[in-house]
Amino acid sequence: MTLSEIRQLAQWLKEHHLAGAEFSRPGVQLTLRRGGEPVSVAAPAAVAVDGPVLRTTGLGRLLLTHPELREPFVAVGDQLCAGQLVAVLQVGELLLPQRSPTAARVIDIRVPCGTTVGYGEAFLGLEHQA
Amino acid sequence: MSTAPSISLLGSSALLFEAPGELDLAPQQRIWSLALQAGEWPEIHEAVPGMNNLMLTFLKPPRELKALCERLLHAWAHSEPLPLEGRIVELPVVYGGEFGPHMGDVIAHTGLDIETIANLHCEPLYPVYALGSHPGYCYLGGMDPRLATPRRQVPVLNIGAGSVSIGGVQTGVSASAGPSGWNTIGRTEMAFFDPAQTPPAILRPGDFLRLRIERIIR
Amino acid sequence: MIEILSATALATVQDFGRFGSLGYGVGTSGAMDHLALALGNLLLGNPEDAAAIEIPLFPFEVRLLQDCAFAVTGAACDATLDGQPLPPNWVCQGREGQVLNLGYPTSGSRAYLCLAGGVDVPAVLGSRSTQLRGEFGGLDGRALQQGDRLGALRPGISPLPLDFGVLAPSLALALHVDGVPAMRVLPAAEYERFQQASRAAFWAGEWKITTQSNRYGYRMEGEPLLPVAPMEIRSHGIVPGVIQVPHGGQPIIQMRDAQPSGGYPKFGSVIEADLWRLGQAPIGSKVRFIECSYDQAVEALESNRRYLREVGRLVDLHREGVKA
Repeated sequence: MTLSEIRQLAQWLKEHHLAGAEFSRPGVQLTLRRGGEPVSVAAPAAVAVDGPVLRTTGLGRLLLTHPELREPFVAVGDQLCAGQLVAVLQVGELLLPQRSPTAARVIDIRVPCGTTVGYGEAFLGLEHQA
Repeated sequence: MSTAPSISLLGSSALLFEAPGELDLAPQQRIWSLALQAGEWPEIHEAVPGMNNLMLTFLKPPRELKALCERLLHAWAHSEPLPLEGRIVELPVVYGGEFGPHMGDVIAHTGLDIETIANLHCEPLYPVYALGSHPGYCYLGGMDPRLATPRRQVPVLNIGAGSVSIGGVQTGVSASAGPSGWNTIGRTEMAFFDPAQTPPAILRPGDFLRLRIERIIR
Repeated sequence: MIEILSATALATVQDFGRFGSLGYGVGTSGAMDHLALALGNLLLGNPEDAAAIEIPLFPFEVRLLQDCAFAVTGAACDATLDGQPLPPNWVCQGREGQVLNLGYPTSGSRAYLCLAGGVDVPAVLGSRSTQLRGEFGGLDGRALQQGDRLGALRPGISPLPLDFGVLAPSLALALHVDGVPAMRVLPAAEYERFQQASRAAFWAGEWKITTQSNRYGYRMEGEPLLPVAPMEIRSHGIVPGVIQVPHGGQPIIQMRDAQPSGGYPKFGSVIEADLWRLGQAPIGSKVRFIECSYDQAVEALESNRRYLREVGRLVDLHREGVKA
């Protein structure tokens, strides 16, 4: 992990009023705290379905439409399949997929396209089939 | 005409060095010598002779362009003609008819008749100055200036392999079918290129082509 | 291994190009958008210049005959894998039997289908690029046809994390003048021998890429470039990007399959760093030209390299992060 990456994480925390983050990968364990209670985060492989929402897999800019396409990935009312791509998270020049792990219907979209998000932010409301 | 060589850029990818004076074999032999030298310089990927000129492609565009140009001018000033003795290859040519679709334009521009054109065209021993244009294609020196005909206003989309053509003061034989902006006056048969061979081009700078009239179609 | 299902013409195998054989009359060939090729290879963990399939006409359809990781970069085409949408500039694990369909692009004009390890064709004269004029290199020296099968050098299930994408160079390295995509040009040897009014019009005007444009050259339509006096130029080596002006004044920009030499007057040369922009400009579209200096052209190359290095660095970070 480079100093500039740490600075970037700290800047994100500051800009978006996040209290902190914990980040680990082989050989690196980083905890950033801004005062108040630290928030520990995981970097799960799939989007966490926490009750009826989809949560982001990491820090970045959440894009509801691919930068090169015109139509958003999904719309309210859409029936999603398991694994369907619903958004991408832009980290620098990379676009990381945000996929729905289960079949569900989109009830609401909670975050405007282009918002900088932290780990685990709820961005899509879902309704599972009975 | 300029008495000093000129150096210009081809984007940031290459330099073009042009020798001054009339198009001739002696300056071409100095170009071959310059190519051998410059081809070894660390900035240069390939030294590609043309008609009394030399393109130097960059491995990586040099920051000190001025210094490279000075080195090039210095090397030219001290270059000796490299004789590069090669083989003589004879090619039979069918002039005119369907094989010479632009013979009429050459007749019109030069004011000569087809017999004279074919004979003047076969007279010289043509040194291979350089390869270019397409795989195995040889740029030849020494064409009779009376045959000079400007390149075509609209290039032809496809002319057959073995086409014998005139472009400005130059002449050449195409090695494969393709587009051409030159005036095609005849056709010959020859295998000029084999990618499996080393070197892949059958002819090289320093070789000579002798053309022979096989037939004239009026 | 993949099989070409569509009857589309003009798709060819290309890598960065064939260098070192200009002296035999062999032009460089190579990808019209080398950045897209490099990106696809980066996403797959391939050598940067591994060969891929360049696709200029759509729709284009292939079937995977075995498991193989692949990336589709370049033009943002309406892509599906077994009917499921595939985002542009994306890498994923393909499975045996899946059908990849690339539809008409919404932006750009050439797509690159990159395979894990690179396309497995023999290198000829140091490159896997297709030499169409000489009929060698790539797949048998010709464009791909329906029924052709091409192998990947590293088929199977990739050990690398896949299923992510990259921001297109057209967005990350955008260059426009008055809303129109632009390319930087360095004046060439005969620049001063064109009329002043023509020179001014070249920089100020919009240039249309006519339908007579392809890998050999782009015929441009705009204000004619008129010489002060007729010029007969001796044949000399050229490189892709050289802007030749035949009689009539409508310029032809020499592209990757251009002859390695020419004798038409040269107005300028599109800089190497911007050739990919031309490669992605669709037929019928308009472009603008920006005059630049040699130093600026060299800096533009460095800017491209920085972009690729940054993408490579982020890809490595992402892979490490996923493994954690």
